[in-house]
Amino acid sequence: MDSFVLLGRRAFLAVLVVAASWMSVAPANAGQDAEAFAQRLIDQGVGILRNTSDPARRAKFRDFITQYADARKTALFTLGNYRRGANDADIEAFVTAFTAYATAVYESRLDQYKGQTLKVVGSIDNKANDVTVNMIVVDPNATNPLRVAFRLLGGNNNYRFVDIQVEGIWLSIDQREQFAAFLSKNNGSIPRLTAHLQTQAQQIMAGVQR
Amino acid sequence: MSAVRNIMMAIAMGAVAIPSTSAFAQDAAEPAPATAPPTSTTVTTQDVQDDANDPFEGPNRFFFEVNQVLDEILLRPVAVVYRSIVPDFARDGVRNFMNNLNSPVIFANDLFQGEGDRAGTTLIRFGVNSTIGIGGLIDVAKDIGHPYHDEDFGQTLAVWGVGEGPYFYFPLMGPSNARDFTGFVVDRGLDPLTYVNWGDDELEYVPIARTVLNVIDLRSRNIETLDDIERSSVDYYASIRSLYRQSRADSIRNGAPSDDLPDFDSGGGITAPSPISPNLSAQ
Repeated sequence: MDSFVLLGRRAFLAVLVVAASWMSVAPANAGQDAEAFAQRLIDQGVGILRNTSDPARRAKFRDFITQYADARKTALFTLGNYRRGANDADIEAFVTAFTAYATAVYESRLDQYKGQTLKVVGSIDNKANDVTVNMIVVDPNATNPLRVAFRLLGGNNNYRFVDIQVEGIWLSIDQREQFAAFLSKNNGSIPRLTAHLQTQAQQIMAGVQR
Repeated sequence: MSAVRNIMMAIAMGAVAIPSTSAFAQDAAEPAPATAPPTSTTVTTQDVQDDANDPFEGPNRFFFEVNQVLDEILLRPVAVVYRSIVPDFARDGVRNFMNNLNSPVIFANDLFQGEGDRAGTTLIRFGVNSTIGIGGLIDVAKDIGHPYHDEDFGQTLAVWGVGEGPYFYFPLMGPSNARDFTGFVVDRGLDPLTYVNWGDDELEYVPIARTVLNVIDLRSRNIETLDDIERSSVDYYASIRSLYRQSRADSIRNGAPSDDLPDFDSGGGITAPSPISPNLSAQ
């Protein structure tokens, strides 16, 4: 009986050890997956932008964003409390306009790094299926390397990014505060913001060097 | 100095340009959409100002426009010319020199925050760069493993638990808040150069020349970046305010990650925790 209890205890301890080791390994694996994903993401995105002779460059970048960005989640976040009470049609139109606007902004931002190398330096598991991957812009002439981060949602090597951070500044928070300021001056009109984003996206694209 | 910190410093010196696509100018010309604006939302202008910590938004926006005019007609053109005629190595020398001059202030604030290691780094940097680095013109310390970092008394107050106070946009000086403006005044008191008697008429302009050169150099390093931010902004003033507050929060944390991440699952709200809160300063 004693040996049976002892065996049971050993088995229980073994299960605990295995579980503990699995728990300690699992987040690291999730982080490594996300890091590898982010490196591929940035290499592919910057690679498209680097190929300036490609006439389909802009269309390819748009497809790239559609595939890897969860613009809908970001769009709804940037509306903040103004989302309450808005009708579904207005929300859908806003999400569409925001996606075009965000694609233009991402292209404009990433275009600045097309001559440089971005390297993954680590990641943080914020919670399940939510990882922040940290990168630096490798530039030997810079006083300090520029810090860039991607917020990825998802798992099992199937992530989509929802936000970009540069030197501690999240783009989504910046956008949300801008949209709140705009909406407060425009009677909370989401259609007016939608129309403005459509115009803004065209202007940004016109300013990005081909 | 980090790129964004450069931007914030440049902005802080009034280094922003007139947005060619001002959200408000465009609003006047843009007809209202066919669908009626929703009025069911309960969000008020007061809510937005409270969330942005900007109770003086009216005067702040006015001074922002004033600074943009000054930037467009004076600072940006000067910065463009400065960058075009001064070689990169000389501009880097200027930047290194300016950073080195600020070392005593950084060192004091490292100590105030109990950051012994960072204070040691600042001390080593000042010693190495002032001697081997020819009076701070060359950043030798960075190459031997002591990179530059910034500190100021505004950050120190935050580490001590002082709240940011209301947001201000000052003429010439740019974005700030009650805490950072207090820090700015104290830092001037901590700067040994404040107490130098420059004597005769020719040298009395040294402090002014230092400030002017610092502003021009910082602006010259952010011409395209600020142009891009301006071009992609829906509301440039609100964007600068957000960038300032987020950047300061990041500096207070010394670049450590924040616990206050945007919540994408709930769709977010404008009453999320402030990007600058005293509890972050301990990280």
